[in-house]
Amino acid sequence: MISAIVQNQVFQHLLFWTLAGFIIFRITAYNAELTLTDFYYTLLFLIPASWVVYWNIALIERLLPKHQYWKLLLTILLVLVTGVGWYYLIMNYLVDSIFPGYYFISYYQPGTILVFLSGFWLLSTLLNLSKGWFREQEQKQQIQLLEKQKTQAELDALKAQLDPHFLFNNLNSLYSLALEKDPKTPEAILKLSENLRYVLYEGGAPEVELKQDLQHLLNYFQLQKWRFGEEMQLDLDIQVGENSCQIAPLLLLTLVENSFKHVGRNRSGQYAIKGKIRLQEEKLSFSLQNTINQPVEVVKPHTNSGIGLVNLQKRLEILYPERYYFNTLSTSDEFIAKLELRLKL
Amino acid sequence: MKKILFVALLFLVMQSCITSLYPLYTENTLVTKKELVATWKDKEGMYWKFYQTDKSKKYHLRCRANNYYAEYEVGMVKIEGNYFLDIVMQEQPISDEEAARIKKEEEAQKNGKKGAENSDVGFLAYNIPGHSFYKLGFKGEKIYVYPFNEDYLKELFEQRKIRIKHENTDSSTTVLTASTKELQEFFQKYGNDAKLFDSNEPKILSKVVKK
Repeated sequence: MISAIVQNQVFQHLLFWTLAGFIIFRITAYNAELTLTDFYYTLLFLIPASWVVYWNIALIERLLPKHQYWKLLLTILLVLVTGVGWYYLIMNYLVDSIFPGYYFISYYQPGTILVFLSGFWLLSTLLNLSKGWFREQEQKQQIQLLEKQKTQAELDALKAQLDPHFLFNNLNSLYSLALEKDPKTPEAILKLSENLRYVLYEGGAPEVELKQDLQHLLNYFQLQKWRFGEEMQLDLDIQVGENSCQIAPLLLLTLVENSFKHVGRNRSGQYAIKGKIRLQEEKLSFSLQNTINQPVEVVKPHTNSGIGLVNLQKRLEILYPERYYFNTLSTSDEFIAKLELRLKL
Repeated sequence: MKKILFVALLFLVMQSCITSLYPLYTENTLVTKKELVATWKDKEGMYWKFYQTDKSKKYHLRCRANNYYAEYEVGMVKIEGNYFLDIVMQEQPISDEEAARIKKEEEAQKNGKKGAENSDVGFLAYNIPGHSFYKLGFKGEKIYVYPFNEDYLKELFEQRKIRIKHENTDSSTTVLTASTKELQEFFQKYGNDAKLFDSNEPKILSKVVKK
């Protein structure tokens, strides 16, 4: 609650002007006794000060990122000079209309007003830059978190690939193929090798070619097909055309792994995983459904089945903010996951 | 005694209850107007003699009522087309007899003799040294002297509606402590304010033409 108030921009500005007003009130008070006229004078003084502060903020945000330092310096000088002009316009002409019956003069020489306004300029510049610095630190922390999660995801993927059962099953399948002198044996060894190489060398890249990632997915499917044989119906339909797109590696694999982990015989005795991948311009759609023998929760964060999907959701938030759609649906027979991404062409 | 009281009140008119610690002029902003150098008479019968003794732009003013007189130093400035007088009392009001007696006493002291101690000078020593300001208007053979509207100014000070450095020395006397620059700025902005300078009751001085 307090943190939300402190981070509220309106509160920050109110606090700044209250403190600035108090300081101006104390500095410019004419007599030992503080009066309402001193308060009115402070309010009038804050008009040119706010002119300088808000122009300064706008100029810093517009010109500093473009490295237009000379333009920034010249426009700030112009703002300061017009700020002095505002002060005299208010004190010599407008004040009698704002506070009729009161007697005010400008009291300070232009040089002194320029010094006061420069103080406001300096203070607002420092506050703005320090705010930018904190924002940058926050972004860095966010990136660090993202890196950490990515590394974790890569590790998870690697673990999954190097899972003793996975290797054991695949090696058993390879052994059977080899015993039968099946001509697919070398291809199976090659696919397993390709997948391990992909996870080790490409899994660390921020983005890879979509086709590369899909090839890895196909290899994974093929290896599982050889492993389960006729027992399970496996189907992965990919139509992505010739467009060259980039995608975060191993993102789609998380969903596939989840399906293989939880696939079960449904009430009709079917045992199947079906996937469909489409690419229309930069929009990638991936739907995956697997049979289950009992309904599972959509997301169970505290169970092994849920962690993968929760992590996937987090990675999507960070990697594709406002550029993704992810939803899961569980029926009595099936678990369906749908993912849509807007990729970079 | 009644006569002395009358004269004292007459000179009191010259002394404002709102005076300034700093003058309204600097050496560079002093102006002169040769029409001012003359003897003038107001309706109360007091004579105002403006004269210059050296090359300075300042004037001397001797005010005389009956056989009493007082000396003032006067600086004149022109701000936004208006003339303003800054008047400071130099010598307390004194009678010709008293002046002669003092002069005699001083000569006696010079010759090693002790003079008389009784004097009516102390009675008239009501003056608080300070600069008093007047707005001036020249119309032919007449000068219109507009004093500060003290009642209005006091009201402004009491209601805290005027923002200028000042100190209240007692319940009836206010000393402006604003700098010359600030005073000039104030007169520049509010020199034509009819409420600040009592435009209804100016002191009209008529030029005394020697026959």
